[in-house]
Amino acid sequence: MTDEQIIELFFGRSEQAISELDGKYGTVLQRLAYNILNDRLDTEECVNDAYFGVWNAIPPERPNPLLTFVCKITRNISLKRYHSKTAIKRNSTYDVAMSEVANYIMSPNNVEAEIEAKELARIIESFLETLSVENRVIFMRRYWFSDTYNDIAERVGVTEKTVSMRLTRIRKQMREYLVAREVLV
Amino acid sequence: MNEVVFSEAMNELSDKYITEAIEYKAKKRSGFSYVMKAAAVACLLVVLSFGTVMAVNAEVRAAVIGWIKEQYYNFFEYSYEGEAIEDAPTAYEIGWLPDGCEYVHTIEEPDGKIFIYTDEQDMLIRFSYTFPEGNSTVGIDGVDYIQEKATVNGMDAELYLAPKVGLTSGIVWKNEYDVLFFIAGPFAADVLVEMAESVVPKETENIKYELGSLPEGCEFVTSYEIPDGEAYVYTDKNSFVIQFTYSSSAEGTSLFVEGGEYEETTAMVNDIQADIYLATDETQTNGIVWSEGNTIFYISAPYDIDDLVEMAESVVPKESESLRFEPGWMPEDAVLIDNFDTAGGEAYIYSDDTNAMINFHYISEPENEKTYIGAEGSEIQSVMVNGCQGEMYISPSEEETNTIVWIDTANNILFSFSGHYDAETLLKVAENIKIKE
Repeated sequence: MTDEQIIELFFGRSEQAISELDGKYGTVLQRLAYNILNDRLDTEECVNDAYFGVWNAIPPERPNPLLTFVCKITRNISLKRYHSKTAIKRNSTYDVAMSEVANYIMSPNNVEAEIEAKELARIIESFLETLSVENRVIFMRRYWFSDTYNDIAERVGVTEKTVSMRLTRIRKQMREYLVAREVLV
Repeated sequence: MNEVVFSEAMNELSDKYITEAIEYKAKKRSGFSYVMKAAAVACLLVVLSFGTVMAVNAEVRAAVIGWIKEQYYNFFEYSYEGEAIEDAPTAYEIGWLPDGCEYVHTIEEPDGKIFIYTDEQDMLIRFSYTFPEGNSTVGIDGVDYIQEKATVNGMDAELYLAPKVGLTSGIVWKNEYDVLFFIAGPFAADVLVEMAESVVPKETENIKYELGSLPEGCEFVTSYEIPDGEAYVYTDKNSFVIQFTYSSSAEGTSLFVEGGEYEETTAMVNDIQADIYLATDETQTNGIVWSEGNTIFYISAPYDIDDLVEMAESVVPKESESLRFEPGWMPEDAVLIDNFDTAGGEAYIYSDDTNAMINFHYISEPENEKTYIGAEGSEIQSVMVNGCQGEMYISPSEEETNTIVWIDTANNILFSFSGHYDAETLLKVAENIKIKE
């Protein structure tokens, strides 16, 4: 079934829409949530919550591409669940990815720069534009989708080691970019 | 900043980056694209890569730490086997080229960069660097070349000297971070070594600033670069000189203000404390100095504290100056419907008398973006547009639009224009594209 047909089912308020969405993208969404939560039960609940969120959003929304839209909802819900249970040591791929990036976004002079997430997002976007498409995908797959190195390597068609080396270099480039723009002071 | 803010910022990224990461399909890493790329630099010592399926002549396999050189029939391949080095610089540039060399083009590679130049005889020159990665390879068609050893800033290097006139020579070396460098050009060994020794890590470009507002009657006189910054000079309506200066450096900056004849006080510029220097002599101007991060700013002007602070608070980062274009002439029946930014460029959509769509589009750095032309069955003609090479796609069907595509290599911009017009009209539109004021 095409995305347009699934959206039509949502517009028709047919519960078949959820089944079709789950059948088509369920695996991708489960993996995205699991990468953040590292818990099967939480993952299941978050993906179901995401389906409910999609049900409430369509209509009036008519997202294109549908998968991007559903992934964003799933990531948001999963992160909320993640932060609501901060006491739990998850050791998820998300944890590992964020710990990788932590050293590169610390202020060199120990002065906390105040910056809004939206403002930072625009700066990260302009940084992403300086990368090749392949490196941009590697960055997004790691820090947005929290994919493992192995998953990224298979998707991009390089070795795990290459993914590791590329990410090291990209993080360093990002830090230089943020320092030059005085986001990190 | 911490990882929570970073993660929240990732949530706010445009959908296009998420979609791109979802839809990305791995490129097939066959030798074909390398052959095509090599064809683009055909005069150079040819660079090839055919993967690892070909037979290796084990006798010439030579392990340099990290990079391994192997011979495949008539060319050498350098491939990397080692670990990444954390503190390696992320970009390099060549500091010296022989007189008459001109920059032509940069090719972005996922694991490095290739810079193409030409000399006075239009011979191509290549400078490239390749970061050490698991599958990084650099191929050199140098088996029939005269091979000599050399050193580049104390590091071992290999020279591939052309065996006859008309071929270019090359030099390969790695630095302390295992980055592999390659220079090829129509030069003697000592010139290649001198070029190689001039390669340095590229420093991160500093942000540029400008004054957002000036009092009425002020006129711009000149601007010039100073170490790590710029200076702007204006005059006011009484011909007094106004100067705005800034300097940024990761290592810290200093600025000397002659303070003997001045009274010192302070004021706030966007919540940052600034030093004010008030002249005791009417022939001198007042000054204000403040710093943000690694940048120090200075304005001197014949104004009171409030005006100096207002000028200081108007200082903003200068937006990057990317060229924008627009049609200077269009057929009479073309009516502009829409004009919007696209990935790396801009599009103008027009409609003609028959409500058919007319499209003018340009993209910067076309190697990073794509433009598609519905050219099935079209007759393709080579054309020149104001000295730029282009192609005309003339459709066999009157119902289909015709298209002209050309590349401004000097500015690295790809233009396309399509509509229900004949070749002559398309060319006229193309030749009248102008820089937007």
